[in-house]
Amino acid sequence: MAEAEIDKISELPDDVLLDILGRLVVTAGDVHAVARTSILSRRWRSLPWPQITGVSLDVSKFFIPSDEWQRVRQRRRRRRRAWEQDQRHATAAFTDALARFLEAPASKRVIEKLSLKFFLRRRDDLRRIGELVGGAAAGGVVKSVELEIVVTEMKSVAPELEEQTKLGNGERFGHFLHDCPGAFRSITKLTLKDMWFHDAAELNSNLLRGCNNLQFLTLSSCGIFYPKTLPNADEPSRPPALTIDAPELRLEFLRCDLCDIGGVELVQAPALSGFSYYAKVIEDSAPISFGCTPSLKCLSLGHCQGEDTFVKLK
Amino acid sequence: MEVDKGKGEAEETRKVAEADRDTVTLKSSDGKLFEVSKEAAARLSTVLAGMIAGGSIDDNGTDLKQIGSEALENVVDYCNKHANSIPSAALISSSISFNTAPFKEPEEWERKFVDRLSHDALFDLVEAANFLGMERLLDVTCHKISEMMKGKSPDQIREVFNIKNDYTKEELEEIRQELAWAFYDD
Repeated sequence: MAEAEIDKISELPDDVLLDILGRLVVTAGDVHAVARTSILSRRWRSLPWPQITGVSLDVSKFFIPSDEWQRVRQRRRRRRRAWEQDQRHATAAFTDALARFLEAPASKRVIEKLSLKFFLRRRDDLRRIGELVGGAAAGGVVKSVELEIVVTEMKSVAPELEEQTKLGNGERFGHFLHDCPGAFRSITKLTLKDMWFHDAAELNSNLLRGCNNLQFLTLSSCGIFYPKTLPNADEPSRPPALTIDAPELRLEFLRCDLCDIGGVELVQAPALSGFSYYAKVIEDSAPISFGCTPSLKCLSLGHCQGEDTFVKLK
Repeated sequence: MEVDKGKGEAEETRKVAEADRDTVTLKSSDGKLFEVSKEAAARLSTVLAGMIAGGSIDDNGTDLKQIGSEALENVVDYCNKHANSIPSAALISSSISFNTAPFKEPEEWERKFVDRLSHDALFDLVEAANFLGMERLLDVTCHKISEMMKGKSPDQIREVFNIKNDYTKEELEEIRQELAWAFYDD
């Protein structure tokens, strides 16, 4: 095909150009190609990015490896600071991209599924992400939201600081939940890792009640804080259990991997059809109790024996 | 000359239309007349469907002032090809579009249909399809354009579509920094 004599593409209306860009994301597989069209001309920069039915943004795709990073990598002392800075830049770029995706004009087309993977960073950063998601969900632009919240790798944390770090993560998440109720109402899938909560109520009621559209919940190395040994007690205390007691909950699948919890009490979970539980240690008491779980079809239990061996009971 | 020829066609079309009400006559911005299957027009274009249902179809040629004759010819050609390519039993269900699959893949004949178009004709057709509310034709043409952009650098895209870079050097630098992540690929 001959090349254009005059620029006809830039004269197309916004929604047609957005349609073309939406296809570009789908076929090219990522948002980079679309973002790059901003550099074509002013006309293209003014375009709100497309509403496509599935938007997936992963903060790890927003890192810019710099020479500086390569250099500081060699020097251990400055490594952490450089990582923090990179994280901050990536989070800012991620949030900007999210904002541009969501600001597309209202039309009949909506984002069926918005998948986001981002760092549990400063409260302001999280609030900005939460407000964008909550606003889009309230405006009907987004139908379902999947969140995966990434925290600092535990292997980079000193063992004596592990518990404190996990509690800090839990606190930050608690603030996020508190700051952005609109965002959490729209969440259908949530993945949390390395978070400890101060008390059972935070996990049992705040999270589950706040996410009333939640269908899939994965808790990995999460837990509830408890005093290791009670004064005047002969036996070591047991961490509180995760209690699911929500008749209106839509939760269909729950996965608990290596959590510091005293088992799971499924009091009322009417929609739950799949449950997977991998315990850290084998305890004398029963880890799971079943109440009203009429939809439960698939159950997988196991524990971590010795080093890394999983024993699957079913 | 063109108009005269158009009038000749109009008379002929009117005779056909009187004998057979299955077609409608459309008039391009430059006065040329085209005949198209009424069923296909109503099914493929929300605007034409509205006009047919509302009785605002002119037997002497319904004025479509926004569409040039070349584009209208392609629209009509597409409608008629579409009318022939789909068995009539599937007509009703295909006229309703659900949002479940946002981007429908063009069929082989639709691919060929847009592939043979010149650059300008393709864009005129996109505009015509947009104006007439022809979702399927818009799908096919937008798909083609997105394929033309795929895998190209901004410079290459500018070249293909003749997009004028109206940024200053400073602005370009600013955008590159702002969207640095988008310009880095593994």
